[in-house]
Amino acid sequence: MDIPIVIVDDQDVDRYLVKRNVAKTEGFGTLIEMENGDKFLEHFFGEGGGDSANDDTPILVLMDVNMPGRSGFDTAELAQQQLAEGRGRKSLVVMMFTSSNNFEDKARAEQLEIVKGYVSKPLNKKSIQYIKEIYSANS
Amino acid sequence: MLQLEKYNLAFDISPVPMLLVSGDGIIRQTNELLDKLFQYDDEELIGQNVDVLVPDEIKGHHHELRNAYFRTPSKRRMGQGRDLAGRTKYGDTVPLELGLDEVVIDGVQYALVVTLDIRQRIQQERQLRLAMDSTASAMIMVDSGGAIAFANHAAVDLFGYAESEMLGNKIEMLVPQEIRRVHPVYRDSFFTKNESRSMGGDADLYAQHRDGRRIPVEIALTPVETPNGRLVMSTIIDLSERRLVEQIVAKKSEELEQLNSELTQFAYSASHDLKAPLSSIAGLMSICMDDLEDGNVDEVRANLLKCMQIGERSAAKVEGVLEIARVGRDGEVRESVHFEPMIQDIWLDMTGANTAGIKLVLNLKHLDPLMLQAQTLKVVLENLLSNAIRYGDEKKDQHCVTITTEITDGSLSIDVYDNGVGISVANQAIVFDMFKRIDEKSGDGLGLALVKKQVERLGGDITLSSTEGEGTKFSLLIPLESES
Repeated sequence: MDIPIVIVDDQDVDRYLVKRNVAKTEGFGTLIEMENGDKFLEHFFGEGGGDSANDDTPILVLMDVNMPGRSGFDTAELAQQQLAEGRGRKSLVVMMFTSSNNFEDKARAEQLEIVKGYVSKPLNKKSIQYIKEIYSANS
Repeated sequence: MLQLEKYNLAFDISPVPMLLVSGDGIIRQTNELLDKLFQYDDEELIGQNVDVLVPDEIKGHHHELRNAYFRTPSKRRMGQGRDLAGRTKYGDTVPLELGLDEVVIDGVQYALVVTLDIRQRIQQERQLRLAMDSTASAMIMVDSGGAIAFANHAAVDLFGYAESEMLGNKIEMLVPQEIRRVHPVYRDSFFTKNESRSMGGDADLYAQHRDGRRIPVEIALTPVETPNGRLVMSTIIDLSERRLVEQIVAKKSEELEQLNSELTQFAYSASHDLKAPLSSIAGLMSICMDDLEDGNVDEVRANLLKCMQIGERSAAKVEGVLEIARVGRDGEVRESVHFEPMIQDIWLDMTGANTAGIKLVLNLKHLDPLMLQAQTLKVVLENLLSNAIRYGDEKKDQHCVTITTEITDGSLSIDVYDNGVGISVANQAIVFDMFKRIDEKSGDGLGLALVKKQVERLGGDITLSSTEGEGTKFSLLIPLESES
């Protein structure tokens, strides 16, 4: 089954790059672009998100860290809180997606239960393979 | 046996030099020790006037003093508290302490004079004094009544009083005003307990200089038994310099800590913000390679254009970071600034011809020109105005930016107010941080970081107050004169 994928990133270029890389790789399905964390939260945890709440197809989420306003980590944290309170889409495989190899960021990613992996920008064959592995391990 | 003979015997066995003088000033009896002290032969002095033993400088009025004594004789010590001296046969001066006693022998009144050779004692005192004067610590001796009995050179230097101004006065003259009243209580309790200790414990201790200045000190107290009763020696160490050094070190380490945390913050930000565009370019290039192979030239062209744009933006961003880093290195001299035209220029640059929907209100309560670091101030105002213009609130009929100036306490206060969308409380805490972008309208997250640095370099201060939906006010306070 093709992997449905969501990219949350404020940079058009970075969303475009994911789209292109995913397009040339087999095994990926629909791709949804979101330019900030609020849209992500609204989509999966907001009032309208209830429809898909019980859809148990796991969705891969590439979450940019550094975004204006709500950062990727803050967004992931809020999503985790919602899940803990029994709300929202359960079957999400969130991976932090950043150009930073910052130690603090990696440590923070490991702290969050909802975050399953940490991927460096830009994507390449190796990291796409890694994403697929993480996805299957969590679905 | 005549009484006088009895005295002869007593004289001979006396361990101290003594002589007997009759009312007319004639020496009637001496002992061997006295003859020796004044370098006369045995009994050579008998029959001579006592004035031969008196130094020349007081010979003149000694006669009167002696007469006065014989009129109202009493037992007393002479020379206590001042230097007395005798004169030897060869004119040498011998420092002495004298005791006078009235005796009546066979109905005749005599003065019995006991002398004490204090040459050695004076020598010792002199050496002690020399030692005390040469120490760097101030030393002050106080008697049981709190009066200053001794003060060394260092004490004179430290407190600014002459020795003569201190001697005999209460030690409280050197104690800070606020504890002058209770100090005698502490003092008495110390005299009662009689053991060495340091003063003040862990609390900061201050002494007071003649000019009222407070001096941080450390004081050790030691009881000293002297012939004149128990005294307390206080050794006072001036901590002013040590405190000053401590302050400087504390300030330096605070600055270092600040720098260190800035550097950490910078490294973190750089790892995100300076690396991100390079990652994007690398990603785009890789896609270009694919597209070239596929012959998809239009896509390659579009992506190369993106690469160029990202490259240019990144170069500008690096320049912005460098500008912040340079703040504080290149000092700018003050020059005469006409504030109002400067603001108008900036405003025109920012809004261009497109001033339709936005209004600038100037409420300047200072008088131009001002002596200011013009370029720095201009950068600051450009950034503040750029934000004020960008964050207009569409819900309001008129987007309005108001600049208010005023001079208070030698500083120029500048308020830049806009009735825009405002800044949330959470974001108010981070807007001055480097690379912090609040929303899509944010620039590269460097503007306010630069503003803050520049204002601080001017020795000024910037604060922010804002209510979401109402507007935002940045308040600057810029000193008009440089700290010397």
